[in-house]
Amino acid sequence: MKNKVPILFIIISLIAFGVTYLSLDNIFYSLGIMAAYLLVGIFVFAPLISKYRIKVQKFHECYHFINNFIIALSIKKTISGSLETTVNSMPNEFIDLYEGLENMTDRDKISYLATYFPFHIYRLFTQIVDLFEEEGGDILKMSKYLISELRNNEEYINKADSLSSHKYVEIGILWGFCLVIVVILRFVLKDFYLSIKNQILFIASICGVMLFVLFSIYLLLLRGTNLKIKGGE
Amino acid sequence: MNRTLKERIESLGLNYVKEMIIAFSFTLISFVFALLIYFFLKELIYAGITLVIGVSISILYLSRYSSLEKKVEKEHVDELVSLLSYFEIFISNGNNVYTSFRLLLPYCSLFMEDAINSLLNHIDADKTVGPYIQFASKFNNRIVESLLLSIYQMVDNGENISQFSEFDLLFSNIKEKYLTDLIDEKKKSLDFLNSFPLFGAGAITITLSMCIIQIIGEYINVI
Repeated sequence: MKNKVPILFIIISLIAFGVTYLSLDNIFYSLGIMAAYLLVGIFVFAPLISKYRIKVQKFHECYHFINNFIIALSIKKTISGSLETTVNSMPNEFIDLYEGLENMTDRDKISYLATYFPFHIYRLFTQIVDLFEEEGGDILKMSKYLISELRNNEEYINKADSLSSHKYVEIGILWGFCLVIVVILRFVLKDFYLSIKNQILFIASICGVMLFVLFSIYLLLLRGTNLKIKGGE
Repeated sequence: MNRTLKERIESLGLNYVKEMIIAFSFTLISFVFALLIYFFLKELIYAGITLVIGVSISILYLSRYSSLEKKVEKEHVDELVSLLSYFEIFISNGNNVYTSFRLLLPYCSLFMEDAINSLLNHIDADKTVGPYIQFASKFNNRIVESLLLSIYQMVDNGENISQFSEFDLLFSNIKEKYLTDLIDEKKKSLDFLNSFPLFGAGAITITLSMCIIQIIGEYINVI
């Protein structure tokens, strides 16, 4: 997915170039529109998508880490043993970070991981681990509401992500049809086309619509990547 | 409660002067463009359209404050619901209501921090339901009121486990609805974008019609 994003924006920019060129028959306007798409794609859209992907991935990891740690703790009853079991089930990037913490105590390692998992739910988890360390008790009972909150958040992220992906395709198809009609009109109205292609109103409206498409992609990504998860902003 | 526009803007944390400058700059820019179109292209209709668009944007910009107020109110209720999930975790781990509210402070926004601090100060001075009602009144929402009353009953009945179960039952229903609302809200905000391609297609159709009518008009004049 990470490598596909720049390629996708290059393809979208080329489509914008093609539609503008076919509609206006002017290479300068077409290059201007393509440059706008490329610049906004690289400097605005790509960072937005990348930030969203990192947040979603980290929340999934956070979910697995807390879940696995609590289950391991309920069986092993020791923080060090549970931490070891949990870390082994995590992705390589996380294991690399964890291996750099070998001089810390287990408690400090769990606290430090809040820099990797910047979500409020992780801070609540560390408070429950503190309480378990100080007073003991049944970790499954102690973390019942935490796990429920964590599952709710995970479910929300999955649903929101699937909804956004569905909308990207749906709105992409609608804009696709709209732009195809613009190009078709150029050939259908060929008698009029020679007269209107140099009219300022026609040029302004085609360029305006192409910039409106860009704005609608921006709004789509802004809303599609907006997640209401506390912490990690 | 009738408030002036200035008070409403400032209550949203926005700068009144800055908002006015932004709002009127749309009109000013469109006025400049309209003048340029009129003097250089001699097209009075297009100059008029440009001016109307600029003024409309200014009016739309200045009329968005009531929806912003509603949005902020909703955000406060949403924040409280998500914080009460944490409150539930603190209560279930043996903290009392007062301490649980205090433990929420690191997770709060500035508004919520002020509201909770004020609640805690009032609880110090007044052990009745008053502080809870006063806190709930900041959210202008009946659900928040019943949640706060349920929390007060928990305190009033010695914070026993059966009272917590009642709160848990009430809160789990609210939380379930809150999560459904979150998804619905996202769906609605994305559904709105479905209309954009229609606007685009409409704009092109209108432009083409205007261009074609202009050409036909020129032919008729020649004949």
